[in-house]
Amino acid sequence: MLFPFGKAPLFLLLTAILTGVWVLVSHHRYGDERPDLILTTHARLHADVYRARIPEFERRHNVRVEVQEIQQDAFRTRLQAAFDLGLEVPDVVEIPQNPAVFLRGPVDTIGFLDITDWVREKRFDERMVASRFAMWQSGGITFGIPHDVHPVMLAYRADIVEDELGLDMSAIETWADFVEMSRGITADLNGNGRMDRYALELPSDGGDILNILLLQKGVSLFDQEGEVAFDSEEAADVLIWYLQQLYGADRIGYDLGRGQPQWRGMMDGVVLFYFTPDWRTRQIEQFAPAVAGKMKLMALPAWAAGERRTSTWGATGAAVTKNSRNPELAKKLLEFLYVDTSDGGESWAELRILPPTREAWALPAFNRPSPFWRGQAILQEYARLAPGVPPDYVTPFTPKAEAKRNEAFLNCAAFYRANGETGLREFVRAELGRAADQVREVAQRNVLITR
Amino acid sequence: MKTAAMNRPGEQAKQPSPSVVNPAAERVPRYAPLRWAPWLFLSPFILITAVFFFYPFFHAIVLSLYQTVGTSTRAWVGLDNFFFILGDVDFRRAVTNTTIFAVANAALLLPISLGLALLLNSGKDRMKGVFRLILFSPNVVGQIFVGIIFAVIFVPRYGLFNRFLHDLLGWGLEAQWLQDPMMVMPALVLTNIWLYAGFNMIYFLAALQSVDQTLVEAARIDGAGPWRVFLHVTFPAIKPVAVFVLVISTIGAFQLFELPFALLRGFGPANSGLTIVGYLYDAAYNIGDLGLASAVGWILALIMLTVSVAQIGLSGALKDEN
Repeated sequence: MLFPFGKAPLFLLLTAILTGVWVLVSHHRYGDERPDLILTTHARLHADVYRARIPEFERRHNVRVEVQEIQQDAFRTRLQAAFDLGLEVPDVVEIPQNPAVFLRGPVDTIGFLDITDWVREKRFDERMVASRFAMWQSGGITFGIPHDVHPVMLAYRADIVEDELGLDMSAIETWADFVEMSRGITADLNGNGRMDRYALELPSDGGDILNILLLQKGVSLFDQEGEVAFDSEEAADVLIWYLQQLYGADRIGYDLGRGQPQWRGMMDGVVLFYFTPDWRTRQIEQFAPAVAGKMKLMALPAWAAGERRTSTWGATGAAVTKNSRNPELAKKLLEFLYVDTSDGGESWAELRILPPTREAWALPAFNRPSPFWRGQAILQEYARLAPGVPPDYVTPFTPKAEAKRNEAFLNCAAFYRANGETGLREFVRAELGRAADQVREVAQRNVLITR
Repeated sequence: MKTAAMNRPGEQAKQPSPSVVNPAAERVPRYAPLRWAPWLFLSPFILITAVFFFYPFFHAIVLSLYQTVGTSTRAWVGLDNFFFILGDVDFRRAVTNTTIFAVANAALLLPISLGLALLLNSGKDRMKGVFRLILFSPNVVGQIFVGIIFAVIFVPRYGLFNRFLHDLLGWGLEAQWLQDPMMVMPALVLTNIWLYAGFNMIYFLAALQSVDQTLVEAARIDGAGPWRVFLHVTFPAIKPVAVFVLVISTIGAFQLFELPFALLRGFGPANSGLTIVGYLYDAAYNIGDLGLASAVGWILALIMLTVSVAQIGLSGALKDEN
């Protein structure tokens, strides 16, 4: 053999050369075959719907568009790293929940395109539910447009509540009415000393449901200026109410957990009322098929007569990246997928998501009665409430604030279980204040991160 | 090939006559190995280690002295990141959580792994391999998947674990493993035991199989019972492996992140599942301050170094046997 170092090193060397050549060739080929636009999304359902619609866009503009589906946590970290290092990024990115982590720092370092003028020119800020832009703006600049509104209603087992118990839900206007009515629902049905049925879904860690109730009351974690705002008297009111319903002597709430056990509990009738934004109706249809024809939706009871009858849970939006190779085309794609309803709104109806564009709500797809929901045109029910959806302001410190508020809630829960009502309000105030101050301390520390 | 140096003393090495052709000499490569050959073969490793380990490692020291937004914008703060971290209540919670997990890990996981290894080592039937596979298999699944599965298993009323506890003890049907801050750590430790007991067992099993059986038999003949045989013969023999498993388990415990993140979908109620790496992730990817995250990374590295050195020192594993 001529290679002086033996067979194994020769094999390794050849492998290294071959794979290196293959990587170079495939990368070069990818560069040649790169589509005109790449869109990434976190949700398989969204991707499926977009893939069905995009051929129409491709025909209109004679371009090629690729839809990529990436798990949201992985996508966040990868996109952030790509922005930081100036690497190639997708042209349009769909981001769930909190985009603030991408909107911090000086404006020129933000990886998204400033679309303020485009949004005004197209009048999206007027045509869409204005509160939904809150999380896509930083320093008066708009970087993205909302995908949804996600109003929240209460889904309930109408077969038990109305048919079996004979309760009239149209008479329920406030949470006080609801609690009063629910006392008759919570029951030990088989007499074994353990409650078998509860009225309301209430996670024992507060979770998303506590946030829904706080937003309904007008309490966001941060205010419009990005200042910590969850230590108000209204927040204390909601926390105390929640604790009373979950741990009080006349409790009406129960924590079913999440995932499969939750659907099982719904089908078994363990809990009768569920906080349900539009997207969750599809989950109920998919994961709890046994309740088909047994469910109905109602507006959230208000905190006081005449006040807001809805809240919001979740938010997705999309932005065009600054490094997009074709930003004008990317904006057209965004408009096509988020605003264009040339398909009669069918793609939105398929997702069971109400679009933020008001003019779309009158389309037949959003007025279709659903047998699963006892003939209710559910998206129309959501559309009725959509204008009242509260704004939810987010900052890079939102996860920290969520954790701190949750910590305060759990401390209050422990206090309530140990001491009951005595001194509860003072304790709740003090805990919320302590938690909010900790977030303020962290938020005020980094002078570079704009809030 | 016999060389001159291998000849017996006094025996003179026979030198081949120049006219005689040595067949072995013909097999020597035409190009003798070059002096730089080792460096050539080491170069990929050195290059990769330099780029992906040494550079980030030392760059993190510099970065930890700045506040940053991403990689391009930064402001000098000196040691302020370290002072902030050491005074931050969440970091103290993360250290406490991680330490509790590491201690529980050492106190429960290692004895369980060793116990399983002893059981398997004592068995002689063909089922041994099957049990070894069954016990090891959870490790193949991975932390994220296990976290997702156990999030369902620990659900109140419908969760498999709660049902099992209720049927066995008449308690636990409504236990809120993942919602009650006091229950989160036991849930994490239980999940971790399920995940890694079989993995650590393999180390112990390999060590047990190399124990000198003549010593065991001699101890038995001298009247030692099973416990004394284990304590005075078996355990001293497997001690280096036990120390190794203890050290890597502790390092793994201090690097804990994916399991609580998947199990609790975050850091759990009241940050009861927040670990040091979770705190680092929050600083880097939620707040976006890589300087703060680098400082956390350095503090974590120092903690792990200290704990590992202490463990090795206390166990006497580095003592010269002679």
